[in-house]
Amino acid sequence: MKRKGKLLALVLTGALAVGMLTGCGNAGSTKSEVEKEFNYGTVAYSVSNSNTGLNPHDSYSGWSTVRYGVGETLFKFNAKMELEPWLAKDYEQIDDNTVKINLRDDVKFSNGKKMTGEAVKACFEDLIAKHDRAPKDLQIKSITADGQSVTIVSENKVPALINYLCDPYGAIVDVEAGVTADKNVVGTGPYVATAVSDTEINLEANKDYWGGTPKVGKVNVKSITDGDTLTMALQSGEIDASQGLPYASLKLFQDNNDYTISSCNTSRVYQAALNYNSPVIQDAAVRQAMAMSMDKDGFASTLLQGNGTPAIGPFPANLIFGGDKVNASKYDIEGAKKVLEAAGWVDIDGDGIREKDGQKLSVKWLTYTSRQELPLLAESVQASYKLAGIDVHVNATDSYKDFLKAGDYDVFANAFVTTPTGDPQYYFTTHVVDGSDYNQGHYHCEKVEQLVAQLRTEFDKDKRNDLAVKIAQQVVDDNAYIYASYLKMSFVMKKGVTGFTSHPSDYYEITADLDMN
Amino acid sequence: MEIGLEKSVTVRKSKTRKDQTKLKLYVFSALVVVLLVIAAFASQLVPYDPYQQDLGKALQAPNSNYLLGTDRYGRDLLSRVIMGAQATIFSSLLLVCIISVIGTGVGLFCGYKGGKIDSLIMRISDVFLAFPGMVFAIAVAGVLGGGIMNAVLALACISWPKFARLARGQVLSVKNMPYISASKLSGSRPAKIIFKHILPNIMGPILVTATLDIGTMMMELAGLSFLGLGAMPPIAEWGSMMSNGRSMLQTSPWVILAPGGAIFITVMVFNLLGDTVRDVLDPKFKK
Repeated sequence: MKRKGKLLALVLTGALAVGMLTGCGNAGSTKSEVEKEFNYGTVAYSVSNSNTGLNPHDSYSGWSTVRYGVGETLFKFNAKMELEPWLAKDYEQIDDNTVKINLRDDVKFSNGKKMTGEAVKACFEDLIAKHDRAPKDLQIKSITADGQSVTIVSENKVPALINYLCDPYGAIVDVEAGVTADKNVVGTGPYVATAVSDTEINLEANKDYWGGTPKVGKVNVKSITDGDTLTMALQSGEIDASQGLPYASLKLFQDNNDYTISSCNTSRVYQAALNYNSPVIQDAAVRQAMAMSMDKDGFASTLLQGNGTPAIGPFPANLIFGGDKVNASKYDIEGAKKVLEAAGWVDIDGDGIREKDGQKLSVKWLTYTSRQELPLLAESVQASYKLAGIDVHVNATDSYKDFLKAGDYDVFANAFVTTPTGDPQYYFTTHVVDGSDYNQGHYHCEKVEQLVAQLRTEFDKDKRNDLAVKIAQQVVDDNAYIYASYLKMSFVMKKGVTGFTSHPSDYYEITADLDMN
Repeated sequence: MEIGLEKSVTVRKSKTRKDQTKLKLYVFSALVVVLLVIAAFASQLVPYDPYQQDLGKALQAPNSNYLLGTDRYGRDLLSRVIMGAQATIFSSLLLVCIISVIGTGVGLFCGYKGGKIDSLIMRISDVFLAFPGMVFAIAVAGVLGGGIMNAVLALACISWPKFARLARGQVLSVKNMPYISASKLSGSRPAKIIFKHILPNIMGPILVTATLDIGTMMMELAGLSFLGLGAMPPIAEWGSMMSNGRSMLQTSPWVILAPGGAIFITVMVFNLLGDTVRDVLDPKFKK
């Protein structure tokens, strides 16, 4: 009897142990889509980036709509930045001012409503009524809907209309469903936002997604703007993937079997706009010397630790109108010294800084810190410009807009995606012509005005490319902007994460292909 | 007999303690002098130009050529730490001078004068004391803009009430002493009474507080610089150097450890000196 009792206790203990081990050991099991939860930390979602919320008709929030898989545009770009249909099937150019777009028949909004021509028309009408940049880009005169097609008539010729519709502000949302108080919208993408705040977006898979069922049930996008916190969050396992790690931290994950990295070159350029309203910048010799004194190679290879490519003009080499199609001054301190001396800038008092007519050659360099590369660029030019005899006062502040408004700067350095639409017109119309939104240097050149006017109406691809090169060359020759480097963007993720790939456009991130194994 | 022995042992112990305190005073004073000399002659002492960038030598670990290594711009960290002593120590001393002089002046005035003006100024100081100091300093520095002098001003704005209250309390405790009354009766003017009779008698606690505050202020200034509200690039300042190196803590730790170590040692030396000065000025010590 006693022996039986002992045996029973032993069996029960064994069963308990097996039960516990089975309960704990889920390593071999495969999680269903619903169970999979992807935590993503990014520096790119923040109030200072003007992209919080998911309403594409508000500032840069459309970038978040598309990046995090809530909304989609009619057309999209492939890895070569070539146009591809997305929510649309195709388009036809009826005449110079009219485009007819045929829509897919199988697309539904996440609330179950079908995406029709009428819905797209309503969305675009809301866009041009509310958005700041879209009306100037699209110049829409009228939109008509007919079943699964929309016809857009422009005020003027807009050869890049289809490209502009790929801008994330062109994400198609159900405007009848409206925008919630927390800036949420109903889109067509693989994910539906359940909660939106300025620091986090919680997403759930869209079960009725037209492109197939998403493989991950939940996605949490967390804004982590401090690079070190982001690094440690990834190391501790709090997040499964990250975007925008500091370059110094990136090497912690390289050659590490527990992580994979997806990198690609983007058209995000670090540029310095020279303020033509500033007396010292009006001197062409000073601008020339500044262009010659920027060590772009050192910046890209050492300070960005290889995560950048030295820039010549506004567009990177993967674009047909970019890379070395444009020529710029090489890094040449001795040459810069000669240029300044010839213009009468001489160091009279021996303090290493040049003077002319009693005025020191000193420039105020305004930049901001939310892009980690910009303070590095500022401190780098501070040293290299000093070698040429130019004193630089750096003002790295996130309240830079106040200084821009007050005109209190000689140089404004920023980061900008030059070809989000795969077309050069966007950059020129926003940066180098009179009245453009981001012409912080107040640059004006008659030749550039004429060439941009031609570009606005030119449909022929080759001619557009030629015009783009000519305009970029003129801007570089005038040293209106000094282009430092293009960004190489990297996503770092845990080993089992797949379908999460960086894209040169900088705005395709979360897709239905995302999976965790 | 036993009582006599006990007394002699107690006297000897007390003498030994006094000797040790004096020795500590000499040692810590000497260390502070060394730090001040390093700060004063920083530009002559640096082995390399602390501002000269050489990207080819970026992020070198400590070696025989660069004893503390180099930063991401290829600048010698030892040179920058030495040069940083100038900005960090002198700005801290300047800050402590400003707040102790202003605070003591206000405290002397309020304590001696009394009445409504005293109440008003003390309520204002209460308002300053009620604010979280660093948060208020960040707000002031944010309004004034970057720069080490603006950081000093921001911290001065919030730190003077401590000295004002201390000085006022001391004045209240001595102003009714017989020697002050005697001075008043002999026709001395208030200014003479304050500066000749009151101030010298309340200087001890103020001096101790000021010495102990040097370390605290150094940390707060470094904190503001760390947040980007203090020294502007390329100025070598320990707080901003730490801020620049923080993303490299795991990959190139020497970039942050060099200025961090400098702050640690300097603050510790000033705090130990402050403690020792307090011991020396303690009436028990004098007995």
